[in-house]
Amino acid sequence: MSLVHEIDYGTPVSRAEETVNLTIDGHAVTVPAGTSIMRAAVEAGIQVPKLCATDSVEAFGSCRLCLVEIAGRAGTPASCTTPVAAGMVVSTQTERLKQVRRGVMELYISDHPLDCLTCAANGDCELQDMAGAVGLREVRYGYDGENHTKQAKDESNPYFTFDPSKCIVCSRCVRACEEVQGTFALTIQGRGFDSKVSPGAAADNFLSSECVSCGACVQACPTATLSEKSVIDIGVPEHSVVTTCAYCGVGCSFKAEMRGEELVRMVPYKDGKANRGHSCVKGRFAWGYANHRERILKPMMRETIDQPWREVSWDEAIGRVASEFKRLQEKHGRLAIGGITSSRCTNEETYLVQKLVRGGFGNNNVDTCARVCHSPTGFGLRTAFGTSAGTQDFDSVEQSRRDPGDRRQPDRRPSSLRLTHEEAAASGRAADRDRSAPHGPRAHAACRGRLSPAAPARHQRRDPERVGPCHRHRRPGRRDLRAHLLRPRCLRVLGGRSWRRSATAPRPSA
Amino acid sequence: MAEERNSPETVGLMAGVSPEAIRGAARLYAAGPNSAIYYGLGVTEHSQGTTAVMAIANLAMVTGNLGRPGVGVNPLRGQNNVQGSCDMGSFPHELSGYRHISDDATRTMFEKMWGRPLDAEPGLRIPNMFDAAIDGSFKGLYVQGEDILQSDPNTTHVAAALKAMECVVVQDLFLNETANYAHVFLPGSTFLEKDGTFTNAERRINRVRRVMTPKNGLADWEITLAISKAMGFEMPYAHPSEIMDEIARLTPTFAGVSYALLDEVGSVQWPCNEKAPLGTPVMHIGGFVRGRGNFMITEYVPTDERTGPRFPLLLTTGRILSQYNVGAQTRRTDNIVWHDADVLEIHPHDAEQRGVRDGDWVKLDSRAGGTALRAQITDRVAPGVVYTTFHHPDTQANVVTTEFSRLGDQLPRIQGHGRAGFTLQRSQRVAA
Repeated sequence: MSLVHEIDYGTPVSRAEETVNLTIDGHAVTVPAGTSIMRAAVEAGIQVPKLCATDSVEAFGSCRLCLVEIAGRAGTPASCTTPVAAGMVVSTQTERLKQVRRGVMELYISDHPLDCLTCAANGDCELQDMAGAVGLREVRYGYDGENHTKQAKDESNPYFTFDPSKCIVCSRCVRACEEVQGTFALTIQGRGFDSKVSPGAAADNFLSSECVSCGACVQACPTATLSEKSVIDIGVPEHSVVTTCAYCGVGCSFKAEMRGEELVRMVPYKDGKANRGHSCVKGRFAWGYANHRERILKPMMRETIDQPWREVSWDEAIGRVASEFKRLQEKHGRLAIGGITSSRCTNEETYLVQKLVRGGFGNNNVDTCARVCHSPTGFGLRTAFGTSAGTQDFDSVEQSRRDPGDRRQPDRRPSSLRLTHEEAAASGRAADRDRSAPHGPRAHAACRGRLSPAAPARHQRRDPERVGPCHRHRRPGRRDLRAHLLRPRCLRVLGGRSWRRSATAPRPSA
Repeated sequence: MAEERNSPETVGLMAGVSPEAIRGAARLYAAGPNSAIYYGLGVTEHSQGTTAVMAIANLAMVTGNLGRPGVGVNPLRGQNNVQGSCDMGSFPHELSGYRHISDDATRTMFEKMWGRPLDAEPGLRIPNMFDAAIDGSFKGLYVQGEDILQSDPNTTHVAAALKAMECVVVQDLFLNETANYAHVFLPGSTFLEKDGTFTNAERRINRVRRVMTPKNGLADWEITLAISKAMGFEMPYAHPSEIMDEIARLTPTFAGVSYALLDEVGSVQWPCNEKAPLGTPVMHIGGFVRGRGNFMITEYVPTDERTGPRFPLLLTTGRILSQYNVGAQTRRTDNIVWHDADVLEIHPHDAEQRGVRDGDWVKLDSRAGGTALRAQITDRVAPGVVYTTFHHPDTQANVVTTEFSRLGDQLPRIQGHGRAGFTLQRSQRVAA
């Protein structure tokens, strides 16, 4: 058993049907049109060094590590932002690229603490990996200049820490918060050397900001800047097992990362078909109840409910249950006892309880909590269609409201959709369909569709709890104002400290 | 549909939505090309829940938004395995796969597999269990993983029912509200401590894998087996995969499901059988499971819960991101930093009429009972409506809610969840 290894392809998958043939380092590669060179390389088994790219978010092109050389083209384009073209011949390792990459790493490391051996990310740090990958041997700038290595940590969030000293301003967290989660809580404040990740206004820390603690930023962060507190305390996990969250009906798949029998952290599993590598605060972080001091670990009994509980052995407790149920049936009839199954226990466990009631108790007095929530769904849909369940899978939302002439790729944002709709369910209201244009370039699942976005529901106050669309009461003017405010934010200069770059307009939205 | 009483003008008045909005929504939905409906408990947790779902199904059928990706009717099931617990036949009238207990062929198949004769008469639903307990005919209850006292409406009635029973067995992780009325408490195991499967809102069967030894000594399924054995009905399973194998043998929609398959492909959406060996992402392609779709006329039936001079407000209850349901798990994690108490959201107009300021304690009363909460002034709720969550037991939000069964005798009775007439006044906090 070891850690479940997931490949990071660098940029999202392309769903085009047409394919392109190219050559990378002498290998012939065939990939869908629109794939980045970086991703095509990974598919061919070639790792191009990278820091700001990760396949859960769109390419950004800021770290300048993934540069490649393309025959017939001048310069060293970034492989993450360059799509493949037919007949392209790419080299990922040349003398020139080596020099450039080492130079880039020198700049990063010149402004980074050198405490690898005691750092929480030791062994799980992409900056470490890249320093090794490019063969960094010296940092000619020295460490005496102005730097950011002594910044205060933000430990306000109960589950993770933000340590700006280790930040390389790759913007993966900002982009994860935008594109994966759709909350837009994070931004890069300042420009150039003064750029820094900020959770909101100057006075905000993570807890007081709009952050909903989903952890997408922590997962995206390549260094120790955003680290789970459990990893800081316990250390890097040594094996992981894929399992399913026990909270809500999305059923996110997680890798439970362990040290022995101790759970270190839950990391969403990219191959989870329901969540595709994303989750909410509960599944990712709120599993501590398993170790809570209030958890009862021993069976208990009492004669009457006004007596205190008495700890007993399993045999005694089970024996009491059996003998009491038998006695009650003998005295009051076969129908005098029953069972209620759980909507949180497994299928197998629920099956066993109804089997116990039917085969063991000899009656049909078994019911489930769905009685008070979704039994109308069961009955209604069975009457109408013949099946008591939803008709689609979650991915289906990506195809909603596709205009027939729309040749653009569907947006791969199922996770934020799921949070949109689970949040909608959580607030007890149906996910209304909203007619205004989506906010910002990338906030929402199926941007081509007109779905209720999660982010705008928070426009009323800076409280991440107030989620859930409440469209009857939203005033149109406010929505437009928010959309208006968001666009200038997206146009802000985003870039690493070491490099000046020109302002980049966001890619056109839906 | 063409009748005046169903026109956007008439309905708009009742619903508080402009007729233009209704027409606009209708055209947007019908124009497609792909329109999907997603709905949650705000639709189902009413006395008209079933008709609302059928009305939604009607809409999807009449506009052809079924049977392909991008469309459909998508109920957002709340709990991690509420879909599964329904699929597994934990209903008084249905066996696994939603087959009626009175159907002889199905029942015989189960009798053969289990080696026991089975009762063909439907049993008691949860509300009936409570009524029967108060009547004196229902005496013993085995509750696994559910806090009926906190999550079911009309707490007083539930408490009276539990008190009237002679043996209440609660199997759970914590001493919950229901356990106050229990005689035997069996400590359960968490999802980290057992193997099994959960079925999510898209019918996807996902593996739950054990990563640590149960701290309480036994996995939940082992506890049920022990009870069964002690009652003389021994069930021979060494591992949950064997339980799933039996489910697959007995349930056509699960016939192809096995742990081996799940390990190989990760997850499958039922139906998973010979016709669909890798599961079924989209249903009703080319035709409905029942043959032809069934349009049901869904007349509007106003809820019996009404406001009046004595109880002028409507309460709705709901949930929030950081807490889950009755908070049994989330209240015992650091998530309390975000929501350590339930608050009552009230519109500024209603607050002003009653002299309520933000943060004041208010007393909330209905015909069923009363509770106290802190007020939060917000325009997130409409005038005349107040809203709270029920994540904290000391809120006792369900003391004030009532059950309102479905009208219509042949349809299952559903409990309305909230939406009662209410009165509200500022108060001093009573001693907790």
